[in-house]
Amino acid sequence: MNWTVKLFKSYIFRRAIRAFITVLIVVTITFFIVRLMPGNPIEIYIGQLMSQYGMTFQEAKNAAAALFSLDLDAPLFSQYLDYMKNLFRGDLGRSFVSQGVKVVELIASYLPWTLFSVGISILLSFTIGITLGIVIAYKRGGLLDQIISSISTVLTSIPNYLLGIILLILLGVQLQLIPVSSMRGTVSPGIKAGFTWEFISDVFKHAALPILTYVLSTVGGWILSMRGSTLNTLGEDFVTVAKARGLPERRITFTYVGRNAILPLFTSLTMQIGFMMGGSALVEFIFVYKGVGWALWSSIGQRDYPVMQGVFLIITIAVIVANFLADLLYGKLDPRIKAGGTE
Amino acid sequence: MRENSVLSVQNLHVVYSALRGTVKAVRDVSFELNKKECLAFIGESGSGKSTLGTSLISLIPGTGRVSSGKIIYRGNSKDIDIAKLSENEVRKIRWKEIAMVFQSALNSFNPVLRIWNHILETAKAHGVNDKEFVQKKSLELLELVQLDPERVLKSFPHELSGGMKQRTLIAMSLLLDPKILILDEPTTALDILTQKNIIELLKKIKDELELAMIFISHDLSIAAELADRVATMYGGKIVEIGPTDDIFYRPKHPYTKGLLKAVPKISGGFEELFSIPGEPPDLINPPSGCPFHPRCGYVEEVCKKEAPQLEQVEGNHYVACYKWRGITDGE
Ligand SMILES: Nc1ncnc2c1ncn2[C@@H]1O[C@H](COP(=O)(O)OP(=O)(O)O)[C@@H](O)[C@H]1O
Ligand code: SF4
Ligand SMILES: [Mg+2]
Repeated sequence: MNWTVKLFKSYIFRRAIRAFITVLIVVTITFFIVRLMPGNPIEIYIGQLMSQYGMTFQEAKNAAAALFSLDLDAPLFSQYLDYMKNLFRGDLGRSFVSQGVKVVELIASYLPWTLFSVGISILLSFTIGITLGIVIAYKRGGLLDQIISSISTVLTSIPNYLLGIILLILLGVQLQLIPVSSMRGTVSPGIKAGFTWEFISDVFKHAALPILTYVLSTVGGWILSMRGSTLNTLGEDFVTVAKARGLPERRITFTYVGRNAILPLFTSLTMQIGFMMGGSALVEFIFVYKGVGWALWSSIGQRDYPVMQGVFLIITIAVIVANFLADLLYGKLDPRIKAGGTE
Repeated sequence: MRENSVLSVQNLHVVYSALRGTVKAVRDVSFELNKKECLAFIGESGSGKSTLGTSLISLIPGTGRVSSGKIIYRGNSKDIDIAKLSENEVRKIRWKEIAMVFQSALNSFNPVLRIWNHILETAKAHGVNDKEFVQKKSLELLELVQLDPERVLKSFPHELSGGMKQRTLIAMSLLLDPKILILDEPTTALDILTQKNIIELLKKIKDELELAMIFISHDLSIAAELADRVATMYGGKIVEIGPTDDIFYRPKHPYTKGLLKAVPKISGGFEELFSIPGEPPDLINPPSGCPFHPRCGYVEEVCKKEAPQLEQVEGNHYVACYKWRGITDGE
């Protein structure tokens, strides 16, 4: 194994270690916040059992302990260790509301939809954003640049949930352009999942409004960043030298300007992933799109703490994993990262 | 155009449009570049040297453009006016016929490409698709500039030092056997020792290869080591041009004399560094008459009225000054 390969390996390794530690910290913090919260969810549940079923405190406590597979008399720290042990076995406890249903199963049914809609949105938004950004940077000062730059500035200043509401009211209620009610949920009832046109088009139909909202609320930022970054790169000496070398315009635009202008955007991309996952709660709520964001929202409403805790954890892990992947990609695209040893 | 010249610049004017007005960066410049010759352009920063250099490959930065004049390049038997070519036509001339190396040694290469890819794409851009040939040639050239070819070819730019990058760029500039090599302050970004090495290298290239060079520098002593002829630029004009020895030992223009005094003499120990008093001219509103008159110690009324033309001193030595006959050699 030569030394560059080794370095690259250790770069991945260091990033993986860091991601893992971040997850551990987040899990720990969520655990203690939930346990130490006044009116701790388990006590609330015990209270509910006592008032609804007339159990004694001890009976209720035993029932709760059995349900959550927790020894409630144990000191907090050993509860924490138990919790972590369960976590490593993939056990996130059970829902209060849909009793007996494992949180892991609930999340497994919600998560794919959020990953799908957010993932597609980031891909679309990033691609459209960098393309338009580089185009208007080349035509800077022109009419097209002025129009697109202004629209982008307006779009970036509207929060995504507000944009979602505006879309809903404008397209669905005012103009009646789209059948909002039949677009609720993630798939229409009665459609079998599979690799069929019917299923896929239905999935996209239901995801269309959340995706449109995510894309519109983020694309302006990408356009403006790419425009700025392209203008900086156009002023770089290596672009001038490339022209002096007689390289064709197309090659310079893609490999010299475009490729280098994208690099600084990766830092924003990693942040964007977290932002979108977090923002999915409100957007999915507005469009009744049943992903983890929606699950988080409804679990808050129903005080379903184990689900809340689980969803929060999964969102965090998804964000960290996405950041990790984005960083790896960045390391692949920028040769200075590998050998630099600064990251 | 003379028989043995490869380039003939005739009454060239280059302007930039700025907010304050039109910057007349190159004004009525004419010269011939002979085959196998090294012609140096010297002058303070802002005198129009880089603008002149980039205009020769139609790569004037920003708003700059040739407003009048001709740049006749003698290709294979045919004469071409570079100022009149379309972008795509001039693209084919760049690097293949006229290569230019800039001062920006630290940032000349695309950070995401290996040196080998830079070389290969340059060859391809000019229709040279034989990979083996390109590899053989680049090994030779990197050897010539005293680098470890194998290592350099597979390196990314950030893995090379400033001096190595500039050597690599110089090697690359020779890839397609250009007839003319323009070097714009090729050593300015480098430390003293590296500067000396690069100059030695350029001397070697000049002796071993059949190509004409244009060497741009604000440093007369560096130019003198390399050049056969030297042209002094001031305020966008050539104010003196002649064989290096004439310019160095018998300068006739007061500005050239001033520049010579401004050069710290390596041999002379602690000689005081003299610099020409006054400011470089404003090229939006250049001074009337002789551009140097606001700073000239020999100025007379006539100097302010009309600009002096280049006059023959002797042989190839020309100067644009009314008073050159009264200016003695030496001090
Ligand atoms: N991109 C540009 N836009 C406007 N003016 C410029 C530009 N580049 C150079 N100039 C002006 O042209 C003049 C000559 O500059 P330059 O050719 O760089 O001189 P030198 O290479 O001798 O230092 C200067 O007055 C400078 O301010
Ligand atoms: S023409 Fe007059 S002002 Fe100009 S350099 Fe000669 S003496 Fe000085
Ligand atoms: Mg310059």
